[in-house]
Amino acid sequence: MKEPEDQLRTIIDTIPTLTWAAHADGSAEFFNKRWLDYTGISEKEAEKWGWTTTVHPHDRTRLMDYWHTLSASGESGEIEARLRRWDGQYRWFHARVEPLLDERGSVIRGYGLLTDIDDLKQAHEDLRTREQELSLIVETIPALVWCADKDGRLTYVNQRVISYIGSPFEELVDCGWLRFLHPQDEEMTQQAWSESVATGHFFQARSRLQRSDGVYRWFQLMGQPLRNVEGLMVRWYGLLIDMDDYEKTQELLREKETHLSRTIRAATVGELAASIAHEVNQPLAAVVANGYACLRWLSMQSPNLVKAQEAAERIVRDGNEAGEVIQRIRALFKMNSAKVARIELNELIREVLRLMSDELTRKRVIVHTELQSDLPTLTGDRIQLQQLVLNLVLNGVEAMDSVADRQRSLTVQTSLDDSANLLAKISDSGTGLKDPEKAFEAFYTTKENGMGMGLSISRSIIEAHKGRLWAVPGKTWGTMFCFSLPISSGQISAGTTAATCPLDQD
Amino acid sequence: MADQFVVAIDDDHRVRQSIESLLESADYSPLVFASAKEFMKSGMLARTACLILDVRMPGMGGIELQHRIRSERPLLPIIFISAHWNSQSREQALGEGALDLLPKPFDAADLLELIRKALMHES
Repeated sequence: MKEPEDQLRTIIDTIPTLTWAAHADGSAEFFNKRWLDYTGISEKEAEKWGWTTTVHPHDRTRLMDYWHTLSASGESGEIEARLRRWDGQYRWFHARVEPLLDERGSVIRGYGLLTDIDDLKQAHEDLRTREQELSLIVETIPALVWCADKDGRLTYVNQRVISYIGSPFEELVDCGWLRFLHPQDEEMTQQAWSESVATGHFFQARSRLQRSDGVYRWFQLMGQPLRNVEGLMVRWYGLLIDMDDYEKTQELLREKETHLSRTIRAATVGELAASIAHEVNQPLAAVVANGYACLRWLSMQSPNLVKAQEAAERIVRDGNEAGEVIQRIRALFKMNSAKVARIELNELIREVLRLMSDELTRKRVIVHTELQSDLPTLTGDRIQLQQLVLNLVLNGVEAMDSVADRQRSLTVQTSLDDSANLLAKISDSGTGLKDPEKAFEAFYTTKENGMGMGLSISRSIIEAHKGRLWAVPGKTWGTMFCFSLPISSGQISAGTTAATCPLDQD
Repeated sequence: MADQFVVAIDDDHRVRQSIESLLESADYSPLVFASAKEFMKSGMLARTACLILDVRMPGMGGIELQHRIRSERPLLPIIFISAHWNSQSREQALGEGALDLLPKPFDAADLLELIRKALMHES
């Protein structure tokens, strides 16, 4: 049975701290086994003031001063200092000191615990270094960085944001940043942000952000939530990417594209028309002039038969040439051998809408489709029918160009007209047609730059397919273009030429 | 009048031939050229009594030629004929001092009448 003192001793030597006891003046009285094992010096060497040699020279004075302060005040305290290990290495320790007071309140003893915090300190150091590095990265990378708390309130922006906005962080914090968005984009961006904050979904918005000089530039706003181990959102991290140059370039490209395609279209058709006029009018002019000349030669006092004959021969020659020109023009207008195949009307319509999706989005046109499922397939030329649908959709979109007070909506419907025909309707919410019939006349156009061949060609295509195309004014506004196409139940005959010559008068 | 010509400039040989025959049948001395450049090189400007001019020609067009000869022959009667005719080009031609712009195929009688009036004025 151990003596109580032995028991105590065992406890003191086992508890996982370095323990010591000192007199009021600081001279050491006792060190536990761990302390001795750690420092590697003997009790004899450590007692009284010997222990101070184990304290790091830089910390010694600070430690002693602190001890004297404590002994004078009688208060407990804590301090960090480096203690030398038996192998010469210094390690950081946290010292907790408790005084023992007598009845009069004077310090008679001091007891202390030393806890090895070296690893912890190192970890702190590493953390601080990493934080500094991170801070440097965040400030240096060529991006605008922001942080928000889990409730969506802005908590941090990097220097680039401050520089761009030209206002101090105080004006951005919480929800202040909304002020710097373009008024037209503010609501949408705020909604998107609120939704992301509520759901934790990736945040994305395109918005104009005001620069320090007042100019608005397009930005892509992005944010990602940081979650803790339980999956709860802790904070948001995000970027602001300057998209202005990109947007401006895109806008320019689109404009140029539109302009170019319009120009090409106009040029092509205009050139064609001019070329036709030229080709035909030259020989005709010659025929008329020769005819007149011929008559004059014959009706002279003394008729010049030679000249008259020459003139007549030229009439025949030039007349034939004019005829040939007309033949060539007819050949031009003939569509190339139509490739006839089975076509799914709905699928064709969807494809055209897909092709147009960029343009539709850009023009803020909302498309509604009510395509009856299980429509029978029809026989026709895919390219021509695509052209038809494209023309009608384009028409609808252009009709809504000036619409600003209501939604621009394009509705496409398909259905079975009767047992033999498919029916399609394309409606817009645009300005409407004053004269629905006239719209189909070639070159009739109310469009600024348009060459009104579109609807005329559309009608040609429909007629080649033995269908019908007509226009009906919309209920409140706009126009509904309708076309019906027969579901051919006969054999598919490839190589059928769809002659659609507007010069054919028979 | 003997040493004065009615000149026609048109790049289309069929039109040239027909006008030449027409003018001859009306007892004028015709000269025909295939291009404005040819005409200028010929040096016949001084002896041209009346000019029949196609608007659209490769190289120098009719309107440009009209400008070029303005300084030398400000009062030379010019009649334009054109395969591409629109109200704009007619206005422009008239504005520049032409007698008229006839669309092809033109009425031969109209053309001869214009020439007759022009030459009457001159003499």
